[in-house]
Amino acid sequence: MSNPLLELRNLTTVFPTGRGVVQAVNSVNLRVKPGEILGIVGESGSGKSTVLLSILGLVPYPGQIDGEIYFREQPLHRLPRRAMRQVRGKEISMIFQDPLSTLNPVFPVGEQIREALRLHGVGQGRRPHWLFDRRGGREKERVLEVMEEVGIPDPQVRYRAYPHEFSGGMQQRALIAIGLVNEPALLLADEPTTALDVTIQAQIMDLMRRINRERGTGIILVTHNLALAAEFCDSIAVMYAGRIVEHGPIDQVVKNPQHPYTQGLLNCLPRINRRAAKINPIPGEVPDLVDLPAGCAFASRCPLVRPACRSAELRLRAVAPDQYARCILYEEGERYTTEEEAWKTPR
Amino acid sequence: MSASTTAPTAGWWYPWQIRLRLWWRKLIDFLQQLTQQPIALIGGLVVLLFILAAIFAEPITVHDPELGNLRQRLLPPAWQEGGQLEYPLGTDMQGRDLLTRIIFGARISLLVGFLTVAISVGVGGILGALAGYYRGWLDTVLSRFADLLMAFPFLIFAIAMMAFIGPGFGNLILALTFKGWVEFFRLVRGEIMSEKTREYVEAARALGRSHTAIIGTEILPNIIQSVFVLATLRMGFFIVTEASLSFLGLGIQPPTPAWGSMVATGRDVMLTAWWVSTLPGVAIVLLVLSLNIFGEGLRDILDPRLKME
Repeated sequence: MSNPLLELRNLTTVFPTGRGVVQAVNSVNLRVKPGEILGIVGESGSGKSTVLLSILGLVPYPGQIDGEIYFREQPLHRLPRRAMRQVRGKEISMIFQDPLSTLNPVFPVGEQIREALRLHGVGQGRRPHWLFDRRGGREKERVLEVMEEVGIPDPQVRYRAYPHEFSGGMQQRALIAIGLVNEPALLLADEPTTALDVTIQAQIMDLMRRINRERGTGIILVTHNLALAAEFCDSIAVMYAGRIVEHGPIDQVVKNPQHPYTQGLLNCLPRINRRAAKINPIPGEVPDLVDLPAGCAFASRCPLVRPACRSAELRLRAVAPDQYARCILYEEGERYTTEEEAWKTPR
Repeated sequence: MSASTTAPTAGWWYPWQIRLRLWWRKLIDFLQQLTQQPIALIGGLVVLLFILAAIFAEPITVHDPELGNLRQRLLPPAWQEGGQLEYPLGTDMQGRDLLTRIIFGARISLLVGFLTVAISVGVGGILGALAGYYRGWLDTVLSRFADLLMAFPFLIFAIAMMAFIGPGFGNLILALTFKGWVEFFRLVRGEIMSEKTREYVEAARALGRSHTAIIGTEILPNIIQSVFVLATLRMGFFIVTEASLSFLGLGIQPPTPAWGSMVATGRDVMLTAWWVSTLPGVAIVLLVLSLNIFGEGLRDILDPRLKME
């Protein structure tokens, strides 16, 4: 068993607001192995993006992060600010949802990629002098190399183009280039293809998979698109109202979902080969995160709900090898071990 | 890394080479757009003319601005009967050439305008950036103070202040900037607050940038145009206010030529020698009007929100 690249233990992120405390992320445990692609899926407001921001310590004020985050056994939650800045963009990069608004509109794209490189002074050990920078040529060479790698044609010409002169797909490639230029070990992708159309989406996912294969870069892909995650990820975590409700290898979870919510999500997917497509939406809405109901948060929408759901203290339990679900179905008796216990024993 | 061995090492000037090329390209773009706005272009040219005249005041004038020839008192402008070509715009009660005094007066007006705007932009910009970015108690305190200053009419505030600290060039700048920074504070604060919510700021954080670097290098280039536009417009206002103070005898003191005090001295002879008051007044109107027209044109060119429509 190799050491995990990233490990989250009891990650809890809350936002104190006027109405009360918003429980955005609620004791999340996750592991990412080196070179693994982990998908986090869930509806809007399920806390999946907040997990990514919490990893980088970028939760907007007044958010508070609790729990432990280990990156290569280094406790990120205890790092001082300055050291944390060294991790961001260098060892852990993030790709955002809307590429046009993520790129700074007033600088040429090439310069922005280069800025990322310069910020961490890759290969130099220390940051270059702000005025007497002797490494300009080498940096540019590296930028062109990365632009080539992410599939931006004509990098020499595109280097000087502004973000609005790029198409959506090219903008996202540029963002990925910014994320990759420092060769991070972990890439956090927050719905990287939501703003793009399907063909471009396929190209971008293909590019990310290639990077993952060639470099062994670990990827956490946050998406609401279960089909995309099924196609792309090695393992998957399904989040609902700030908690992980099901977690396991992608094939098992998709073929054999154990949690009613995952089953519901899979039923929502339209199938292209079935005429008169019958989509079965999950009725109801995500509960208010300020005022979470006791017991299972999904109880009000669950087709299999029982009275006990509204009070039981549920845990993630192993329902199959490596697959965990948080549901009353697996809570009874001694049949299923909890996630904590399963993690203690080496696999 | 393979790239580091193959690529030649560029000189230290390399980043500046890129920056300069960028700025140059932007300047060319700007001038091209300016030619499509003829009125703004004319305004800009008039302002440029005033600036050049103020800089080269000594070599382009033949008379002394402060020392008159009493034998040539109250000569009318050259196109009127009795006017002399040696004094194209006529002379005042002490026989000083009006054109010379207007040109030297431009120096005072523009200097006051530039300095006041520069200090106001500096103070208001920095405080506005801090307040808008970090919010918190600093923002509360500064904003309330700004509101307090906004509650006073500008001219009355400046008059009271000049009466209190006494006339003089330094005091004049102080009186104007004491309230002048508020406009820039409010503009920059608002712009930063809206820019801060944009995703590129978050992306810069995710890239490991510090807050100060984000304000200085990511946000600043995005809001600099609106600051520039406001600076141009406010400069006209400061020039008028300086002229008003000088007119009231609270600003620049004679014999230094300032347009406001020149208008004031001509009041007594208004009926017999209209030009002594009127021509400096025309100079004020011309410069301020040109500045405002130019500023409006700048707004049309630089403001990205207008461009989108």
